[in-house]
Formats: sequence, structure tokens, C-alpha cells
Amino acid sequence: MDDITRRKLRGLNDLVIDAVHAAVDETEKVHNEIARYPYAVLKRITPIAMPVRMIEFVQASITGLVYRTIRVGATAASTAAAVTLAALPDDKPKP
Amino acid sequence: MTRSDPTAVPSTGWSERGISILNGVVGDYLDRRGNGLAIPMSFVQDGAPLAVNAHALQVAQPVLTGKVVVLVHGWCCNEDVWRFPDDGATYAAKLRRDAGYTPFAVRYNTGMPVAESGAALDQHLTALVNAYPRPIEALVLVGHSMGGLVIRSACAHGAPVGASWLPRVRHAFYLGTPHDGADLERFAQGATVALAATRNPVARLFGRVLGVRSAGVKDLREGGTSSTASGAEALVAVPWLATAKHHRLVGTLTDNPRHPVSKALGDGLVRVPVVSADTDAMAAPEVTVFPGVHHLQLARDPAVYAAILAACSAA
Repeated sequence: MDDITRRKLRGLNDLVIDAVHAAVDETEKVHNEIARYPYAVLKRITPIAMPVRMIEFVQASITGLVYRTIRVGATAASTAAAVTLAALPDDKPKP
Repeated sequence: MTRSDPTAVPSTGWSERGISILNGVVGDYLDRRGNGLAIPMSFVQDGAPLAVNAHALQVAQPVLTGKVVVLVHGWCCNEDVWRFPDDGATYAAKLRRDAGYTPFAVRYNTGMPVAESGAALDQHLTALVNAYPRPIEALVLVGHSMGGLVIRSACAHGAPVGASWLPRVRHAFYLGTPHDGADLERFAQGATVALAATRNPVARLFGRVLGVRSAGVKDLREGGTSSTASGAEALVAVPWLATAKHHRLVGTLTDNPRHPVSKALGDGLVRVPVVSADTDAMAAPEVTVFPGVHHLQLARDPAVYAAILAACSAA
């Protein structure tokens, strides 16, 4: 593989992981914003406020874990791709 | 396409075109991150960067004449935009055949601020003039869309330091260049602001995504070509280079330039300019309208080429 192709593939790999992280961050932010509304309403009802808080905590923990898993998985895949790219042999010089 | 045709230029292929589009959309981000997909400005020959030294120029060009034409493409494009669809010819190669001009095409990251691309073009033209094996008597600059703004910005950068290429510029052609700003980018900015102001989190998300677009395309909003001394985003108009003839070649979507669609949309992206009475008459650009020629077609149209050739042949 020649240097220019390797540089471009490495760039594409970097861009994809940047895009995945940005997309996950934004999705998580919107997800949390949307989920906040019903919890805010339900927490005003005093008899169920405590269980609602507990459910909100559990839900936030689970979704946070899912988003973190996606980030870690994407980073691992990107790192593996970068290592593979680095290991590919250089073009042999033409005689 | 056959290489036996002296005006035919090979296509760069879909991957290079894709990278150019990517650079137009997020090129400033790629540059900041040191991403390998960011396109550094260079002269290109057959899809590959051309080293600017006397030996490389002599190897690349069959004949080096005293007349040089440089093509600067627009936003999200590369030098492929100049290729006529039927025979792969370009304005530059045709000018070599018909008027003895030595052609050079520039490729650059169109997501960078126009002022930075202009500064880079100034440096490249200086290097070209210095490396060229014979004196350049006439330099013609042809810019399509954003490329025209980059040319004006290069002139603005070169003028204060007395750049060696500036006195050689005889003609500058601006094909569909949004000197007065581009409505589509104004719309995109309006949509970004409006979506960000809503209470809906999904709409705000779309606003943020729309706001990610590059500094280069944001510069098209007001047709700015030069950053202020502070380096801030504010842009100021720059004067036309007084020693060159300037030609604004603009298209319209319909065959009748007075049709409401053509008046409202121009060539689809850039409207036909209204010539102002207070424009500097010494260097005011000559405006030529090409009815029925849309924005991209301006870069590869027989009638537009005829106008360029006529101007170059006249002086």
C-alpha cells in the first residue's frame, strides 16, 4: 500500500470514529432531554415521587451504560483498524 | 476519452470527488485534526500533485509558453468540474490549443476559510512564477464559484507585499462567483439559528448538525474574501485588482434572464448581479449573462469558453 492511500484510509478511520462519538454524544443528550419531561411531571405527584426517582436513576444508569458501551466498542474497532492499516506492507519499489 | 485529444484531461475518479465533497463540508475540521483526508492546496496534473520546480514543470507540460492560465475550482469540487462531459476537455487545455496558454489547475480544501485559501493561492502563484523556466508575460486566472473569491482573496494578500505574480495578471474570470453572497448559505444560516432557538430537542439537534458545516461554506454567505486583522470571522470586501480586467460570467436557470425564476434563483445558486453605480469604474468587472446555463455548467460550457477565449485573444 502506498503512503497516500494509507494516509487517506487512516484519515477515514479517524473521521468515522469522530463521527460515531459525536453522534452518540448528541443522541444521548437528546435522549436524556426527552426522558426528563415525563419524570419531571411524575415527580410532582408526592405519593409516587420516590419510586419515580428510583426508576429514573435505574433508567439513566442503563442508558448511560449502553451509550458508553457503544463508545468503547467503536473505539476498539477503530483502534483495531488503525493497527491493521499500520501492519499492511508497503508497496515494493518498482525495479 | 482518448489521450490523443490534446485537450482531454483524465477524470480523478469517485473517491477523489468524494474526498473533495467531504473537504467542502467539514474541511476546516479535518485540517484542525490533522486528518489525512484534508486536501493541501497544490497544482495538480493528471490527478496527482505537481511539484513546483523548473524540472517538474518541464516534465509535466509539453510546451511552456509565456502565457499561463490557472483554474481554481469551487466549493466541494476538484479539477474534475472543468471537464466537458462529452470529450473530457477543459477550458485550460482548450486555451493551450487555441491561444497558446500553458494550463495549471489548483486543488484545495474548500472547507477552509476563503481568506486562508487565498493566502495559500498567493504563495502557490508566487512559487509558480519563481520556478517557471521563462518569464511569464500574461497570467489569466479562472475561478468557478468559491474559486473566484479565492482569487480575489489571493490578490488582496499579494498586493501589500508586491507579489511577483500580480503585475502579470491580465484577466480574471469569475464564473458564477457569489461576490454578493449566496442565498442558499443565508438560508442554511437562518435555519441553523431558527432550529437552535426552538424548545424541541430533536429540532435543536438538527440545528447543531447544520451548524457543523465548514468555515468555507459559511464565508459564501456574504461573499467575503478577506479576514479582518484580528483574524475574527468578520469579513470585509476587498477591492478589485486595478491592473487586471475582471469578467463576471453568470448563468440563469431559464433561457430568458428576465424570467421570474432566473431573477429569483440566478444559476440555481448565485443570482445575476445588479451593477451598482458606485462601483469603482476603473476595475469594475464586466458582467456577461449566459441564459440557460446553470451553476456547475458554467465551468464547462462552450459559450462560456468562447467568451473567455475572445477576452484572452483581444489583449
